[in-house]
Amino acid sequence: MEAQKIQALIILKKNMLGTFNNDQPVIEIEVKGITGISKKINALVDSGFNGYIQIPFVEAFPLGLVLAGVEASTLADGSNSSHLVCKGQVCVEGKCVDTTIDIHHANIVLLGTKLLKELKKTFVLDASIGKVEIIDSK
Amino acid sequence: MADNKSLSLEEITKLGERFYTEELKNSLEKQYMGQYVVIDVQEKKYKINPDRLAAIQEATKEFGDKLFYIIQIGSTKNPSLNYTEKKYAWNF
Repeated sequence: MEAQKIQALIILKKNMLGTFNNDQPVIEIEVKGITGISKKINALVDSGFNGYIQIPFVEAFPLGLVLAGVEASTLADGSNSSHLVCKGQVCVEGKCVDTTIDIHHANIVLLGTKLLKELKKTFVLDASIGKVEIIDSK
Repeated sequence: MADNKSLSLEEITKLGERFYTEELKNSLEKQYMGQYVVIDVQEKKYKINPDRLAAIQEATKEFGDKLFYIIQIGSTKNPSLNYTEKKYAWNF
């Protein structure tokens, strides 16, 4: 994707501290789209989600994300499903990584393991004290 | 998005699914397990890459700025919270 065609930015702060509400690790991310308007949204860090990032329609439309296609997948329960895939970019401390964004109807934002891998980040969770952190991998 | 505006998302999904299942699945699963295939359903051409964005970029560069059918070869996806996924109008 050429630089001028990049349509969205998702900004992830360096060494982010999250919350552990209802025993769920949540990190605040900032999403910026083609309109230039940025929005902070809470993303659930889902270590069981082997994808990149998933956001709901209601968050994607105002950001003006650009559609790349439709992805088919077989879910863990054996059922088939399709969802929209958009192109975007993740930025950490001004350093940006191009990525793809899954768009789903479910009103939840998920941060998946593939994105953490691309960002070279370590996910730290200490459930006993409710510590949630995403830091640079060593 | 440009070229395949005449195709709806539902048509892209159905054509892509048929092309993948009937012509690609068996051969690709032997060699490219876990990688992403991005298919131009009208031209029946595709690009494969371990990285989904790279596969989309390669397809866009070669086939034009259009909507593609995307699938991870031979993989069962584990969106662990997607147990709530249901059949809606936009689930093709």
